[in-house]
Amino acid sequence: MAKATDFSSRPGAAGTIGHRPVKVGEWFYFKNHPQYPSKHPGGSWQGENAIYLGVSGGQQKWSGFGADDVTERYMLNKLVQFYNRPAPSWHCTPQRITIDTLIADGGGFQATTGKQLNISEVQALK
Amino acid sequence: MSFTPSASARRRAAVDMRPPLVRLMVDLRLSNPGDARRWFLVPDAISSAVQVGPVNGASVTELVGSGRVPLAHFEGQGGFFALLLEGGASVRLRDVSVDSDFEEPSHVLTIVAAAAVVVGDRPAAAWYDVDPVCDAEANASAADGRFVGERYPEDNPELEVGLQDALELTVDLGATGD
Repeated sequence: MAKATDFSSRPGAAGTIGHRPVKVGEWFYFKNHPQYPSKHPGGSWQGENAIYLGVSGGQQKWSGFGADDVTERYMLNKLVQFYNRPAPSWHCTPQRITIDTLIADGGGFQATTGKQLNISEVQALK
Repeated sequence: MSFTPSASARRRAAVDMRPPLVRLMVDLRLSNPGDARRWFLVPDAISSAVQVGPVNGASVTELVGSGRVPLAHFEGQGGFFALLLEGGASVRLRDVSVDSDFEEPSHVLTIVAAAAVVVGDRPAAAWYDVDPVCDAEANASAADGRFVGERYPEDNPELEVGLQDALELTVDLGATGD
């Protein structure tokens, strides 16, 4: 149903924010900060599975489960926003992150998660 | 006759996103009846606190409709859309996407009108690759336009936004659960 994406064979490796070397229909994961589950137990913004829709209005657009037709930068900002929400009983660091610290700590676009959906196999399941 | 900038808004639709987010589609009318140019900053999310910035950079689109409307979207934790109106200009902007959050149930959108705006260490106009001034009369959809370009500095710095002679214009979009 899904075939893994091999970035090692692609020029530019994983690209940059908003400029990923991805194909329409590929499915990737955008991960929140590794401390998100500790800071917000049960929180719904641990990460976002998203399918690449292509370029629209000059920008790469993604559709996730609850974040439809959005840019990568939009998703990163939402991950940061929900990480930074107050959590009174939480004492670990970092208490506040930025897009840069999110990425530095292993969050954001997860290049190794890419899978190409095989539409005919998905349809065959119906 | 008043020379004070004004704004009115109407919420056209609400789309459920991942909880607690709801995306509102909003139509706006922005008017600058004075003589001087003014920036109008429309937050891309409703918040209980007025927040313009910090942002990471901007993307610019020239919208499709009657009249020319260059729209900059400064994205970040205090993201906003920016338009520059000449004195006497009035712009109708349709299909503006504004995030609302039912954990913070404010439904007041606070638009900022300012004589000058600085983002990071650059005037707002320097973030555009085109003339940022809107036509004096324009009616355009924010959902349809020609992408001009984007400027996002490396390392995604959180850039503060400086305002000069700023005025807050509040518009009520109604409760999210309507």
